[in-house]
Amino acid sequence: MNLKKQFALTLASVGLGAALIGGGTFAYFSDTAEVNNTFAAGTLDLSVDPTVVFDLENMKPGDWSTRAYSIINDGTLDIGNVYLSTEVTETDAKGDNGGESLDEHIYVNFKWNIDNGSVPVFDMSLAELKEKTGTDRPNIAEAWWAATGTDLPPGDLDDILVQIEFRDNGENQNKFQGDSIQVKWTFEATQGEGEAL
Amino acid sequence: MNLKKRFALTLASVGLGAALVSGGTFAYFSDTAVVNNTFATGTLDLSVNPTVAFDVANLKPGDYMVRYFEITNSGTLDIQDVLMKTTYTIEDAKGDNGSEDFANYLNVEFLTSDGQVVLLNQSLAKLKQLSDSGKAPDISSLYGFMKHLPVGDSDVICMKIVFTDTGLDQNIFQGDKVNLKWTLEAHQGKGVAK
Repeated sequence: MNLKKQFALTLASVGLGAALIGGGTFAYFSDTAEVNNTFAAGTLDLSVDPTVVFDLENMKPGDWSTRAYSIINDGTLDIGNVYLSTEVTETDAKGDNGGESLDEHIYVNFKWNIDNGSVPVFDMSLAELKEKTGTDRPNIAEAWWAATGTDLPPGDLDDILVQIEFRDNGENQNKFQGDSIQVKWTFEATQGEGEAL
Repeated sequence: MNLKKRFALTLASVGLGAALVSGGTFAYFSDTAVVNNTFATGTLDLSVNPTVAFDVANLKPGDYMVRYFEITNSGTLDIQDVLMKTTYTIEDAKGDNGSEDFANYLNVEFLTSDGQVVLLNQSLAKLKQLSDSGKAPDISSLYGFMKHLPVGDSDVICMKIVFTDTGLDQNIFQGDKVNLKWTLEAHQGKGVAK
C-alpha cells in the first residue's frame, strides 16, 4: 500500500475506534444542580366587632351616646390604611324638614382607645362626614400611626371609641321630632407600602 | 536408487533436519515492544450554595427581596455555559385566580454583585416559557468578561424578585404560594486538540 493510503487507513481506524469508545454517539458532558424556592403571599383581612354599634331611640337635642367597638386585623399582613365611608338615610316622619337635614345636627367623634390614653381620629357632623368620599375619606389607621409609629398589626387591636351627639343648637329643632337616621359605615383596609423582605 | 529418487530423498532429509533443528517451525527474528496508554476523562461538576435561595412568606404587592447564590465549578473541566431552567407550581389558596398566573407578577432581575445594574429582567412566567421552549438563559454569561465558568471559579448570582404592584386589585393572590425550582444545567465546552 502506498504511504497515503496507509495513512488514511490508520486515521479511519482511529476514528472508528473513538466512535466505538463513545458508544457510537457524541454526548456532551453535563451536570445539574438545583435551587428550590418558595414564595407565599400574605392575607389582608379586616373585621369589625360588633357590626351594629348604635341602635338609639328617643333621642332629644343635647343627648349623646358613647360606644366602643374593635377593629380586628384577621390577616397576616399589617394594614396600612383604613378608609371610612359613610352612608346616611334619613326618614322625615312628618315630611316637615324642608331641606334641612337631621345629619347636620348629629356630631360624630372617633377616638382610638389606646392603652395609655385616647387618640383623636376625627370630629365632625354626620352631614360633613357623609360627603367625604374617595380620597377624602378619613383614614383611621393614620391616627394609629401617629400615636404608635406602626401600621395596624395582625390581631385584636385597641378599641375605637365613638361618641354621637344630637347637638342642641339653642334653636327650635321640633321639625326633627320622630325622625330617624340610618348610618352605614364601611371600612376599607389596604396594605402598607411595599418593602424589602 | 536412481538419481532423481536419491535427490528427492536428500532434500527431504535436509528439510527434515532443518525442521528438527528449529524445533519444528519457521520463525523470523522478531521482537515486541509495548505501548501503554491511559485516557482519563475529566469531571464536569457544578455546585450551588445555598440550595434554597428564596423562602419568603407574607408577601404583598410592592414587596421585593434580594438574594444571592453562588455557582462553583468543582470539577476538573471548564464549564462553558450554565442554563437556568425554571419550573414552578402555584397553590391558589381560594381557587379564585381564574386564568391569572401569580408568576406573571413576580419579576426577576439579575443584578451585578454590588446590587446595581440590571442584567436580565423577566417575569417568572416568562422565564418558564423560555425554559419550555429551549431558550433558558445562560447565567454564566451574565457576569465578567469571561463568559463561562473555568475550573475552580465561582460566580455569585445576585437576584431581586419584586411582587409587582399593578395599582389595581390583586386580591385573588392573597394567601397563594409559588414553589419555584431552578435547575442549573452546566455544559462542557467544544472538543479541543490535546
